[in-house]
Amino acid sequence: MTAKALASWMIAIFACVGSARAQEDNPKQETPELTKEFAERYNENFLERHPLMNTQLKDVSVFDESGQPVSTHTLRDSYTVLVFGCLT
Amino acid sequence: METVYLDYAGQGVKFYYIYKSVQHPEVNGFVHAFTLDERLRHIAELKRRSGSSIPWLCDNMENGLQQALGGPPNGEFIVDPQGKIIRQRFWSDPHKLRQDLSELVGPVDKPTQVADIDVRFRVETRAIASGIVPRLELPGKFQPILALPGDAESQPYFAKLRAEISQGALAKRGGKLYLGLFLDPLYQVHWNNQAGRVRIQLESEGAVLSQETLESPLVGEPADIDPREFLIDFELKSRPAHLQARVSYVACDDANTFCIPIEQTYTIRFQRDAEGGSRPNAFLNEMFADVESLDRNGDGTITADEIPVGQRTLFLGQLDKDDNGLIDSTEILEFRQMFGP
Repeated sequence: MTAKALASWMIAIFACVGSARAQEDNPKQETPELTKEFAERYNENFLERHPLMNTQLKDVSVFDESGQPVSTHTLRDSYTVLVFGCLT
Repeated sequence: METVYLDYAGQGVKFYYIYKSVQHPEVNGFVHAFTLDERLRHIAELKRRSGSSIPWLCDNMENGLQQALGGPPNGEFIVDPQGKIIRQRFWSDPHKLRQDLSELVGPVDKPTQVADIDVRFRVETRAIASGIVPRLELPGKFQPILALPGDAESQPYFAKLRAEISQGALAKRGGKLYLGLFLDPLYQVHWNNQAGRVRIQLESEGAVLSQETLESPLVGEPADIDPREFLIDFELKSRPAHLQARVSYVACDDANTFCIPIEQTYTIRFQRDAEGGSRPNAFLNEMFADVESLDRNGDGTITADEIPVGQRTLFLGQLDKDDNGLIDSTEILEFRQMFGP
């Protein structure tokens, strides 16, 4: 496995697994150049392929933690942060 | 993410983790949820074991929200009070998120530090034997195909079937078919080896199989939780080809309150499962071989200067759980345990 392939995979798995401490605020910590390069490339491709900025969040029916239906249309009146988490 | 949440939830910003299908089955032993109830149980389990207080929304079984947002596995978005998406990232980045919220809502006087909180996924081990049934080493790369459960609502699928085919097999109209049965840790059940083998009976339509009856090897331990894996050859004769799989085994719960024979069905379609994710096993050996080889002076710990530039933050951030700047063998072992025995 090449170093880049390993780094690419590690981004994927580490982004999902455990804490996100590697990404947390610590201005003194070293920049992970290799992984940063991949992350930025993924982001650029994502923005090109799915330009969602300044568009309305689509109305999708999801569920709260108790299983009650929630419409994403109700996520208004304040800033809302949505992060896709992974169990794994 | 938790520190950003703690600093900004009190300022009126709503935070939600979005649950969608499992991206890396087998990590921490978890496998794909077949029902909404199982997804909700995954969320509860994650909160219990991590100590995170960030609320979750559970995507629907079609992963409709993930698709509406472009399908990023770890994406991050900020929606303004009018419902407009004003930030979009493929990979969540708490540092950038904090900067965004500082601009949008205002800076925080004294930001919460990671050291101030204790949020991390805690690996739990079970008393039942594991690591005793050798894992299959697949010849080359494989990709998941659809394995659709028959009726997951009426009786839980304690063991869940995963189907994969060798890369390029669809184009070549034949190749290797991998079938793996993984016990779902949500149910805390184990194989009862004294009651016989795990069995998969296959019926094919449009495909020829090298074997139609698959039986797991006999296991000396009376009980275990290891996956049961099979590898056979297939050849496609017509399309769309599919298999009917009838899985039978005896499952007992770890608390010894029940032992029941299970017979459940799947339809296996020779069609790529876009939500199937990837199992990490193929990469782990190489990855951890690298980790352990970093210990150049052989003292059993890995220090920052032994890690290649560019990977220090990643390695230390994920493996150095006590934040002492070293990765010791216990921390490597704990990380390994997330991926099974």
